[in-house]
Amino acid sequence: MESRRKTLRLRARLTLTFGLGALLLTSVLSVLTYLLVRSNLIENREQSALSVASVNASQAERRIYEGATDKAVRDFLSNLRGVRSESTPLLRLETDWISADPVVFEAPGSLNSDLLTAVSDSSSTGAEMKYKMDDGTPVLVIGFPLTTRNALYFEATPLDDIEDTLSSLSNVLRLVSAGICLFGIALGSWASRRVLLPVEKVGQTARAIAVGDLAARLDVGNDPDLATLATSFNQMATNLEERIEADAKFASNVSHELRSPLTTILASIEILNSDKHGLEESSQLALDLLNEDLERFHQLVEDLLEISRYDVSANALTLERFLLVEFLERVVEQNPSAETRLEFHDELTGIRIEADKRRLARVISNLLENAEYYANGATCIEVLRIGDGLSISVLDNGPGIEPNERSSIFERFARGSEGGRRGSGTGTGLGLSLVAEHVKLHGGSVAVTENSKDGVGSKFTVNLPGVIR
Amino acid sequence: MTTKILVVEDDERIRTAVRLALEKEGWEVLEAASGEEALEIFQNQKCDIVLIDIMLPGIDGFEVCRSIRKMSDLPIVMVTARDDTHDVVAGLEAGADDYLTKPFAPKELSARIRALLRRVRIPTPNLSTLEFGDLRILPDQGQIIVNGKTIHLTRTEFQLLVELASIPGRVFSREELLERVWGKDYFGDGRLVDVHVRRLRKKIEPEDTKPRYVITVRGFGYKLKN
Repeated sequence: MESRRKTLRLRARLTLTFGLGALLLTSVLSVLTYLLVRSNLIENREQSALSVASVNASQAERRIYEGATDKAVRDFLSNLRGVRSESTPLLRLETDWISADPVVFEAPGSLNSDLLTAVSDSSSTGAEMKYKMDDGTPVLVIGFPLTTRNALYFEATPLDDIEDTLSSLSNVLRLVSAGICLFGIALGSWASRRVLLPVEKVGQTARAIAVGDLAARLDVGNDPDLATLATSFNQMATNLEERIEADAKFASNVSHELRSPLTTILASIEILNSDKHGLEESSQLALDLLNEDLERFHQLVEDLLEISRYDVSANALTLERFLLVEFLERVVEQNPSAETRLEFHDELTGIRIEADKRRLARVISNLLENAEYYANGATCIEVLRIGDGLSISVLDNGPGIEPNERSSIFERFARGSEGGRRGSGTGTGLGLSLVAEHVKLHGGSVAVTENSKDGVGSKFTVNLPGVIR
Repeated sequence: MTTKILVVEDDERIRTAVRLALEKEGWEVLEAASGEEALEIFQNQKCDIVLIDIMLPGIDGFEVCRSIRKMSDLPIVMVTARDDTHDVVAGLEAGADDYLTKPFAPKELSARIRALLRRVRIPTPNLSTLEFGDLRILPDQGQIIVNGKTIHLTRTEFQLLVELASIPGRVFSREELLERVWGKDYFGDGRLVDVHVRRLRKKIEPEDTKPRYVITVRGFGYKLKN
């Protein structure tokens, strides 16, 4: 079997798309911003450092040219102002290195040898280099060759402030990116909910119609995009409702029309029955056939009339209070299969219930009849008290009902499989659907399970909440 | 003398078939195709029981029932199209003693008729009069006297009262009363009892909303207060 591909729900997909889109956009913008700011800051620093260093270098050159002592040069260097306070000037006179006091930038140890070579070799333009010192501090070093005493002037400016700024900036950008991404997700979630709201409503309404609320409709609203959907959906629901109503009305009309001829037929055949002994043998046989089928036909019309009252919602309970056990005993008595046991706890003796007696009697006797037709009769009726409700089960030892047929047997004209059917009697095909309708009108439910007590057969259970009053 | 049954039914085929079936039972049948015809026959000929279809052209079954009830206490069986509460209760309120729903088997009909024609049973034959305060029942004369005034009860109402009076103070369930008065089984329609008790109260109680004689025992049934 082909494994089913997992597809994310539409809403999740939309939300994800919004989130990823926002993340992508904000990432690109952040990276661009970072790079731009970084190059700007560093360029500015380089330029200002270069011009300051250039001025300082020419001043130093003049001092040396004027023959200042090493001590005077050192003082001069210490008083020089770099582009930053941390800027450190240093000077090479022939082979001696003179640093400003205090020594921040250790020369020549901290000086990159490539830079030294580059500055020595340059004519007058100098050279610059950015690198990291041993302790990890980034530094910009600018060097100029001086014209006297084979001197080289260097100025080192730590770039840690720029690094700090950039790292703060990158933190802020990261934070903003994450925020925008979250916002995108939220927006996606909201938008998808908003977009899917009409779809959700259609789903809800369709579900309501499916469970029987045929009058459920969509609110058309004033959005032209959605109005088309809502209008067509409502049109479909209306057509469906009309169709179902027409069907119900047709069944109701047919069964009503059948009543008068059936009354005539029932009375007429009674006259033939009383003269039966004067008839020929073949006519007697024909009369017997007629009687049997007429009885079934009579029952069918009665059942159709009853069920069509449910279709046109003309049914209401006629509630009475009566003794439960006596009632069940009477129902069992009426049933042809005398082998049905009635099992109940002693506490139920003397309990009165409030229900529609006629309908409840039909429920039990239809279940007993069903067992008679398909399972050689019911073996037992089990009555349990559940709070102020009742659970009445009719058990049989018949062939049982396939799990996939268990809900459909309560539909109209549903017939069980051929197995286990006895003789020609098959009921009207409406018995169990009437059971379901009667029980529903009482606010209860009916279901069929396996007869686990005997290990074979079926168990029809009717739950009637709140009937013990 | 044979029992005469008036059958009021506009459908000729049903009417004929019902007549034939009832005649097989040994009863005499008078036929009426409309309410007007029924009332005319009723005024000119004596009959013992009336069968009325509710759906009639012209004056309907309820109206025919009310008109007959004004003139006589004889048993009336209504034939309704539907057994929903409205039609049944309306028919009983109009004065019917029992009802049938179409389609019905003639056996059902003759069982109803036989039950309604049955003579009132006298529960205590040695007592010709039962007394409950101002209420006196004379079973052998089929009469009751309230406050010295003779009250007319229909046969069914009278039988209901006599059943309740057979053991004063005992609670009779609807099922018991249905069986004893109407000859129905356990599954008979309890509304028959309720509507007839209501009608009975209107006739014998000084205030029918606060009954003094026929008491409702909620969830159980009715009793005659001793």
